[in-house]
Order: sequence, then structure tokens, then C-alpha cells
Amino acid sequence: MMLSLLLTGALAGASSLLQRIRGPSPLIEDWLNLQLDANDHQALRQACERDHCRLGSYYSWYLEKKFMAGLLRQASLETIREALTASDQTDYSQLDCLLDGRSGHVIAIPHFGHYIPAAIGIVNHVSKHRDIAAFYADPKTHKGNGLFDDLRDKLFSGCGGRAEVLHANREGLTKALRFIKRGGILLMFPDVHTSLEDSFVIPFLGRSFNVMLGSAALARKANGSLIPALPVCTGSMRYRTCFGLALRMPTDSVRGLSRSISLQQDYATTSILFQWYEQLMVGRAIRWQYIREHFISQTPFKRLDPASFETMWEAFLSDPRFVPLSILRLPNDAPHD
Amino acid sequence: MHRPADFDTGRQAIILPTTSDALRCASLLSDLGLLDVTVGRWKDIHALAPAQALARVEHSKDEQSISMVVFSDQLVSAVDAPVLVDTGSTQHFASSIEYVLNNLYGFHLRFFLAARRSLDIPAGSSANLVFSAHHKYLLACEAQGATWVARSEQIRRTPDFRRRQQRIRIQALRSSLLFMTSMGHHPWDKSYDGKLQTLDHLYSRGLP
Repeated sequence: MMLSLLLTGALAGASSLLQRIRGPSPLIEDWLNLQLDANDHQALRQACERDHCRLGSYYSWYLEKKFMAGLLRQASLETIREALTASDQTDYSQLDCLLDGRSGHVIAIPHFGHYIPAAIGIVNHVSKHRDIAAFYADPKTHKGNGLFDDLRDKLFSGCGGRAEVLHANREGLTKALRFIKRGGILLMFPDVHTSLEDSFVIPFLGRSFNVMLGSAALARKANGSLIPALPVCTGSMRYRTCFGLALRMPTDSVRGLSRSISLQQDYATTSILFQWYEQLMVGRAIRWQYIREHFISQTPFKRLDPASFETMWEAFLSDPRFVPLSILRLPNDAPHD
Repeated sequence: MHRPADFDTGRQAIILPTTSDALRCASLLSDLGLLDVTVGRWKDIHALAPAQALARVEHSKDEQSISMVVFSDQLVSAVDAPVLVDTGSTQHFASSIEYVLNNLYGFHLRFFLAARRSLDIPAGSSANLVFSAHHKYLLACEAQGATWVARSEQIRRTPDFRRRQQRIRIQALRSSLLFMTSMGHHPWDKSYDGKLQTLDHLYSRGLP
């Protein structure tokens, strides 16, 4: 406990020093093992301008994140539990109200702030009285997620089987739907996509953002609701997970709900979810894991009205990028030099 | 200054691979006034895009001789390379400027095959002849090894790459429609159902 307090104190000191740094510092980046190129620096400069902070705030956050990741990877079970208890300042009664009743729900938490301890906190709290499963990409394909499997084994292997893990693949998706329909709570990370070509585009932090509609679709199909969650920093190594109002959609069990309508609903729910994230991220967006990639992209989101949509539709259908000019099958008697 | 025999008369286009030697050669010929137009997409070689080059040819007099170097291996985008060529064993998208030059503007084409080896295609040749030669040229570029600096660009000719790009565009348009109607306060028009179906169809069908 004492060691943990000392380390946290030292971290807070280092963080406040780092926050004073205005521009890029190769020395600090080396020390943090942070590999940033010119595009990254430009993206971070824009993100910091938006957050009204210096680049040092990003360094400081990165150090804190690194420290937390190291602790979760290497510390003993007891130390991890102590650190998590000390860090988590969440009022879970808000979540209990949202999870009232027997129906299953999806809790959607982005890769923001101390999202790993926050996810553990949610699983730990909910598993005391409900079945809960964390849903994330299989470590076989996403090596980094091995940490989540390890933490599950370390922290939840003896909790009577109320906390489990479902990997995001075809089989996992079917299981997840069944799990929510049975009244389970599914914890998802909605700000990642497995395939760009399957993703949809929404406006987020002033740019286009590619996102899957899976969290909203699962909640709708299971007749559950989607509960937004976001861990907000309350001090060095301290956070409080905020929960938004449950987003509930008309169920798919009403047959005849057209694909257009369900797609529209999933899209709207996902957009509202990210609008809620954006409101809470104001002034602290640099704590989002994908901030660099997001700000490197300069693509604005196109907000259309019906007239401009029609114009775009016509242009789209005649776009040469869509229809090959012609298809030519070459004969075998090719010319010789 | 006399033009070499190849450039003596008429309209000729030499199709070269993007190697440092070829780029230097094109630059030198251009400086000496032996080359009228360089076609390519790399900004640092002061080349014209295909549409710009064709506009220049269009505005020239009918009998005016024009010498051109085309770096066809740089013409890989869907706009520059819209012709899907099926060789029997592979498919790729090929640029159209060579065929247009050859058929509409009377250009003699000379495709690079190897050092001191080329494939000549007389003006007015068939599409099969021009695109077969283009295919051989691409294979010859491949054979250049590490000196071929446009190698990494060639993925953009593949149907797989184009299909992915198409799908990304479909999803962007679909998203704009969904945002407009669900978040942008514009009511869902019945015609949008048909449009969504068209997008679904295009998404699953992909390239013909």
C-alpha cells in the first residue's frame, strides 16, 4: 500500500513537470518510448489546441497510461486490486438504476482514459448480481488483448462464473446476442472497427469517424438498451466512470421493421452515443487512445440536405471509379517485340 | 539540334517504367527540347496528368509531330486506369491514355520491355494489341527488381483494392443518407428505400 502511494505520488510529480512542456521533445519521447513522426506531432498539436492544453499534457497522460498498463501487466493480484480500489471513484448506484429489471443491456465504453480499470470496475460491480461478459477482439488476432484475457483469469476466475469473456468473431457474436437475450450485460468497446469497408461514418470531434453499428444492433436485436459509459479523470491515477441515459430502440421482434428503419435506428443510436462521448471529452480528448489517427485524418463529415444528396447520388452513379470503362479479355496471341 | 530517328516524324509515345534512369532520361530529353510532353502522376517530375496531356494533343495541329514519354506505371488510380484487363490468369486495371493516343490521335506507341528491347504498336491498332503490349510492359517493369520505384503503387490496379475502395465510398454515401434522415431532421423519403437497396446491391456485387 505504502509503495503504491509513493509511486502514485512520484507519478503525480512527474506528470505536473511534463505538463509544462509546450512543443515536441525528442528526449521525453525517447524516455516514454513514444514514437511520433511529423504527422503525429501535427495531429497532436491540433488535438491539444482543441483541448486548450500543451503537448506536455499528452506526455503526462501517456506516462500515466503507461504506468497503469505496467501495473496491470506485472503487479501481483493484491497490488492490482489495491490500485484499482484506490483509483476508482465511480458512483455505481447510477449504473444500478440503469440496469434495473431483468432484460439484458449493452454497456459501451470507448478506449478513453483509464478504460481498462474502468471496464474491470464495471465487470466487478455488475458480476455481484448479474451475468456480465466483456466483448473484444480475439487475442489470437489482436495480440494486445491478451492482457484482457490475463486479467479475466487473474481477477474473475473465482467469482462464481458471473463474469466471462466473449471474443468478437462470428461465433462470439451469436453467443453475445443469446447472452443479452438471456438477461446478460455485455460490455463493448464501440470505437474500433474490424473492417473499414464494413464501417459507417459519423461526425466525431470535428472529423469523419469510421465506426461499426454492432453495439446498437446487438442491443436492438436483444430488445435491450445501450448504456454509454466513459471514465473521466478526477486526478492523477484517479477516475470516475460516468454513465449516460440508456438508449433504447424499438425491438426487432416487431416483424416488418424494414431494414432501412433498423439501419437508421442503429446509425442514430450510434451517433447519439458518440455525441455523448464528445460532450464529456471536451477539454480532455487527448486521453482518447485513437486521438492521433483521428486528427491525422483531415476528412470532414459531409452533412447533406435532400437536394445536395440527390446531386451526390447522380455523381456517384456516374463515377468512373465505380464502373470500369470497359472489360477487355486478352487473347493468347499477344504481340511480339 | 537533331531529333533521334525515333523522334524524326509523326507522333510517338514511349512508355517507360519509373526508374531513376528513365526519369533522368525523360528529364534530359525534355531539357534538350526533344520531348514535348511527359505523362505521369509524380509531382517531382513535372509530368502532366493524362487529361492535361490529351488536352494539349487535342489543341495541337493535325500534322504537328509530338513526342511523348508516358510513365504508365504511375497511372494506377480508378480515373487514370479504368479498363479492366483479363489476361486469363489475372485481372488488373490498365490506363486508357495509350489506347486513346494510338487510336484517336495517331500515335505510334513504343512500350519498354527491357534494356534495348521494346514493343512497337503502330497507330490505329486494335485494343487487344495495345492492352496486350501494356500488359507485357507491366511484366517488364516487374522484372526491373528494386530499381522499379513505382512497384508499391501497383496494388491500386487490383480488383480487390478497387472493390475495397468502392465499398468505403458506398458506406460513406450510405452514412450521409442515414445521418441526414436520422440526425439531420430531414424525413425519410420513400425513394431512399430504393437507393439503399441499390447501395446494398452495389456493395455485395462489387466489380462486374
